[in-house]
Amino acid sequence: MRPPAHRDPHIVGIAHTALRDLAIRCEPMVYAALITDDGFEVAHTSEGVTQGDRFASMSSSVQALSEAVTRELHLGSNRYVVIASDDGHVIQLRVPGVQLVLAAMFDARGTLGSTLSLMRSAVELIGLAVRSVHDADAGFAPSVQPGGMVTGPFGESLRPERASGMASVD
Amino acid sequence: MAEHVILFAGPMGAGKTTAISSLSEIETVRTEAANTERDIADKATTTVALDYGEITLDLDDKVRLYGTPGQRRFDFMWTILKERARGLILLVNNDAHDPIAEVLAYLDDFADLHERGGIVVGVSRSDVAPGPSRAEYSAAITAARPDLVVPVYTVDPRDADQMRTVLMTLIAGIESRDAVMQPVRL
Repeated sequence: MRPPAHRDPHIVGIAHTALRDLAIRCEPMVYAALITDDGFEVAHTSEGVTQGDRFASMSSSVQALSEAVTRELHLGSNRYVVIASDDGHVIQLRVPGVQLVLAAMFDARGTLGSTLSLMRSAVELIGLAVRSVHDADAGFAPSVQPGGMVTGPFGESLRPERASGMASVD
Repeated sequence: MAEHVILFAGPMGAGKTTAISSLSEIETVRTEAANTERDIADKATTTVALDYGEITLDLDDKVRLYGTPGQRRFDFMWTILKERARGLILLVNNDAHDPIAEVLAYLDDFADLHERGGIVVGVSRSDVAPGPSRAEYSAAITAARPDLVVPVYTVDPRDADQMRTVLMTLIAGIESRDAVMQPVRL
């Protein structure tokens, strides 16, 4: 049985790689963390920006509250959460197929469309990589190297197509 | 119609979500997430923001029930939820590592609710772990917090009648306090 995501070296490696990649591609990103549904941090980007544990706990609560509102109002599936403020915004997205959430804080230079697009691309990558770890456990071929590189049965890269960084919000 | 906001607090696994579900006459709002701390509380999910339920006690009293997450890392939710609350039902599972220490720690965190209305302690899972006894809880609370008057009950959070008794005790205390505090008109 695998340890929880925040104590699983493979998942932590995937998270670090994805967050590093996101930070390089998105200058307005101030801070980002991959968290478990129950508020534990798997990995984060910058040190000293905010209290990482607190950010993870708050993101977990906000995610659960937004999903509760979506459920109560019969609005289907929750796609993402945005907290827009004068000096920046926070975006949260659930990683598809696994019990993880990507949460990131952006300064005022970031436009919602471009940051959301990059976040979507990142959660797809993380989801693919994490699911491949689970598949590998179940005996399927895709595997993840500790650094987060995902390979298929023939050693091919399974990284999803990168977003351009210019997209509209749907 | 009088309206009361009552908070349920206590460690993970004490039965807060279950107690609110037992009491509520509406379908409760839950914010549960997969629990990765199975070594601490062996349950599949845990509350990460709040639980919400409602109960009408009689024609005049509507009670809004809010449950807090048990883990201290969510204490910002405790602060938020405390703002409107008048009273606290502090649940603790008797099979916790040191349940009396848990109760005393939570009392420190929520002592202002005693000032505002009242606090009642409910000890759950005493069928699994018979000790400490209610008397031991009461003695420990009196010794640590002589400024607080806190009744202690053993409860089964799944039992609506038992939870209702605890809730009614708390509400009665709050209303008595309100009556005493009202200025006397001459």
